[in-house]
Amino acid sequence: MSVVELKERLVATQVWRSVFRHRYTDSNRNRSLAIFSNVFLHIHPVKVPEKNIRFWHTMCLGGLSFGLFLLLTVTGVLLMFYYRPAAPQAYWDMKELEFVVSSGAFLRNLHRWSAHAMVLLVFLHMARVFFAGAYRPPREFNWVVGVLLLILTLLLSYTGYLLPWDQLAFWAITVGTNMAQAAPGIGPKFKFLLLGGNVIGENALVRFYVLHCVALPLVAAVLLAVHFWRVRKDGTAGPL
Amino acid sequence: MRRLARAFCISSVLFLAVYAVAPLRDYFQEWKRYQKSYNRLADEKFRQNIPVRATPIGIRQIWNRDLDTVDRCVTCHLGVDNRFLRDASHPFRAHPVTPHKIGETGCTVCHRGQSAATTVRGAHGRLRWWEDPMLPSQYLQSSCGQCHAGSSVPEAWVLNAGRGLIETSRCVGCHKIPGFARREPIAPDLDGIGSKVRPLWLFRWLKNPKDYLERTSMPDFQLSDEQARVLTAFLLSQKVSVPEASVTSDRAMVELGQLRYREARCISCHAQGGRGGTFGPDLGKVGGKVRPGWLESWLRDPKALFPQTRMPQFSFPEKDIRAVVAYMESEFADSSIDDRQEQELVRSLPPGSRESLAAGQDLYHRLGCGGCHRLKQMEGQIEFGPDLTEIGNKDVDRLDFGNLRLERNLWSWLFTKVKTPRTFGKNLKMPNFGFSDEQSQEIVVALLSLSARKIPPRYLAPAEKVSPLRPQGDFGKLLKKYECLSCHTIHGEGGKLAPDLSIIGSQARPQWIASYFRLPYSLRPILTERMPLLGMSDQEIRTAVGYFQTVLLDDSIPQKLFPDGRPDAQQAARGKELYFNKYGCHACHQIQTAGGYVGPPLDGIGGRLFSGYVLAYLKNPQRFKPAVREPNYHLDDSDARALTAYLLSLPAADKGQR
Repeated sequence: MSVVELKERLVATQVWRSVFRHRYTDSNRNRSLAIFSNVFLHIHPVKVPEKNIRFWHTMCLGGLSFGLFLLLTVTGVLLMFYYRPAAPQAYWDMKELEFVVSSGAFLRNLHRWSAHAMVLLVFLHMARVFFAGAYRPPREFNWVVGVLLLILTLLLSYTGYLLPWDQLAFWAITVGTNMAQAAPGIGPKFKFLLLGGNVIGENALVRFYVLHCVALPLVAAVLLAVHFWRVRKDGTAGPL
Repeated sequence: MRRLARAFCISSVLFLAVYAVAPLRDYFQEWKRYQKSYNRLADEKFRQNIPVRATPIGIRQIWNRDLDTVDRCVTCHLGVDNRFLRDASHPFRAHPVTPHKIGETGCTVCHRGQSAATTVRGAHGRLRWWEDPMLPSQYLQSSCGQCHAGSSVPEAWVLNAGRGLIETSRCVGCHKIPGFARREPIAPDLDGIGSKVRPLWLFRWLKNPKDYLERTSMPDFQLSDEQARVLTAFLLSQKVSVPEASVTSDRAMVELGQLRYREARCISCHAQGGRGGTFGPDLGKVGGKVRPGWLESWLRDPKALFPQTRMPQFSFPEKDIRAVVAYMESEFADSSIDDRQEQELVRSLPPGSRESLAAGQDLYHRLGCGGCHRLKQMEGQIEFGPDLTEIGNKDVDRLDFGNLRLERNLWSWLFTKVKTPRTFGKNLKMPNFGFSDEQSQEIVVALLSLSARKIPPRYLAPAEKVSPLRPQGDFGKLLKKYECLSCHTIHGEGGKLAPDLSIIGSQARPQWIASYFRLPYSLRPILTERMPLLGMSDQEIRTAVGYFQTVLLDDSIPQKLFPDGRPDAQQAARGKELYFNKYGCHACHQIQTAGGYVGPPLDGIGGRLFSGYVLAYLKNPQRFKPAVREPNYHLDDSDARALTAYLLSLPAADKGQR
């Protein structure tokens, strides 16, 4: 049996055809199918005019932010293998990551610096959109979604700050929750809700942990989908 | 487009390079280098047939579950438990011999540092924000004190000395310190101080106590002249009614006083000009300090003026009291106190108005005099200095270093604070105790042992239990009146100056004890020290001897060895032979002034000691006096009995030869 024969028989199997649902012939139909039938690619348009993907239109800021979001998700999941949201174990787990886990310090630094970079890039992304006037109709809805994503990014950054359970974490959260307390009317209740008590203790640590690792990333993922879908529908704004 | 692709390509390569650093750093870690060099050492030792084994490369640690510590020090310090590496160089040298099992106890519980770390800088804790660096060796004994209470911790002499200093300096007067109880004040009561001392002396004392008494435990409060005047005026207003007395300078009285002073052995406790005992204050210049009227009352009954005093009550007749005062006033005059200066000072003191007394009261309060002294009108003052409960783990960033250029760590701060308490700022209150460098270090060691670490109960070594000996009734009163336990020990409690009395009832005959109370003498010719003549009444002597004979006994010692009370002459003759020829006892002991000077003379020993005790003592002298120089000859029963018979047959010494 020759190689060509083997290949033909393989391509003819049901398994192969259920995964790759179109042929490779370079036709418009197959090009469209390649995009449509793939969950990861379908958010892209089938065809893009070259002038629309000039670097200085977007400076790739949105894409980079999303890239960092993915990186943070991956490193975050890896860190979760080593981390216990309990006092005082949380702090000792940081020390384990630093001193004994293979590449643990690298993992942790990657997560931390990516988080800082993501906040910066999201800000720059917003500034770019603003100066490009891309918040105007018909993109006003996506601007609002973007603002929500900005807030989520900041909240993710803030909730992650408590998790090392060191002095920096403790006092940053003290300041932050006292700011929340200053809100008129609901302030004190809101602080109580955030901390799960009146002081920063293990309850607060668990709350921030769940917010940081589950609740906020899920909401962000949903909003990201909406955001990208709107970009796809509204088209890029093009040069001013 | 192509430019963008090229930029993308280059940045990808760069990123890859950066990412490659992480696994490389992971591979070339510091501790792996140390382990490889240890393995080279192990190979070398192995070739010399010394059992040192190479280690598989990997992190090693000691996990102490009870203390909740994980110490990775042994990752690099691989030879720590191997006695064949005593002379190896660091970091592989073996730990010095210690009563603790290193593999179980761990390292950081004693040495501090960062237990989890696996880098040299990190583990030794020399990092900017790491609060707990390794203890320098001179403070290491503080760690013993985390588990070991009391001030007789084995092998921790610095800690013991420091705890002793905390006790004697009465730090608990102002601070709360766990392990140190706030007992009765050690310093004199100040009620009636105005009737006790002369104004000029008081003023100078307040300005600098060590000027007058080198050994005093009163610290220097660094008072200004004005403050000292206010306080002097306030204290002088504290009067008590003691009869005024005029001092006689009659020659005969002075001589009688001197005789009584010597008989009472005052010098055993009170030095004069630096020579003599250290129980009580040096009396060399006491004439410039106390008023004669007060001194008379004091000699009559010290405990009436100061109930906590350790001075025994001597039962002097009235005439003798006047004589002793006359002698002391003439012998212990202070040439630096003259009346003109004193009058000048008294004139410059603030008037006895209500305001100035209130100012004195206020100053008394602010200085914390009540921490050590008692004054009835100022009762109720308690610790006002910082609580030192967990001072051994205080965060460095909570310490105020003032403008001082000091190493930023807890021990250098504590050392400076103890040695020169007011250097960190102007408004600090702690007085200067005049500790030397060495003493300061000892105190810092004791303070560092006050740790915040939770120690599981099974690790705690409590202080040695002091025997709960508290005789009550008549004998209890005698013990207090004559302060017997200042010098003697009974069942582990008391002083070490004089013999242990725990089994005195089995040792000495009651008649002899009674006569000794009436006229004490030195039992050994080379000792000049002897018991003071207390002037006990017959009733008191009967009480004491009765207590000895019924309570302070050792039932394993038979009192009477010989049935008819007299030793068998034949045995005594054999004992004499043994005494001179076999054991050579006369090398140290005298009989009728012939013999050595080290031990006590043995004339008339049968009148002093019970024969049963003599026998038991001869068999094993160290059983009764662990430090005694008498050798243990491991005598068999017949030799011991023969010697006892001989000793008991010795007549009393001729009169006048004592």
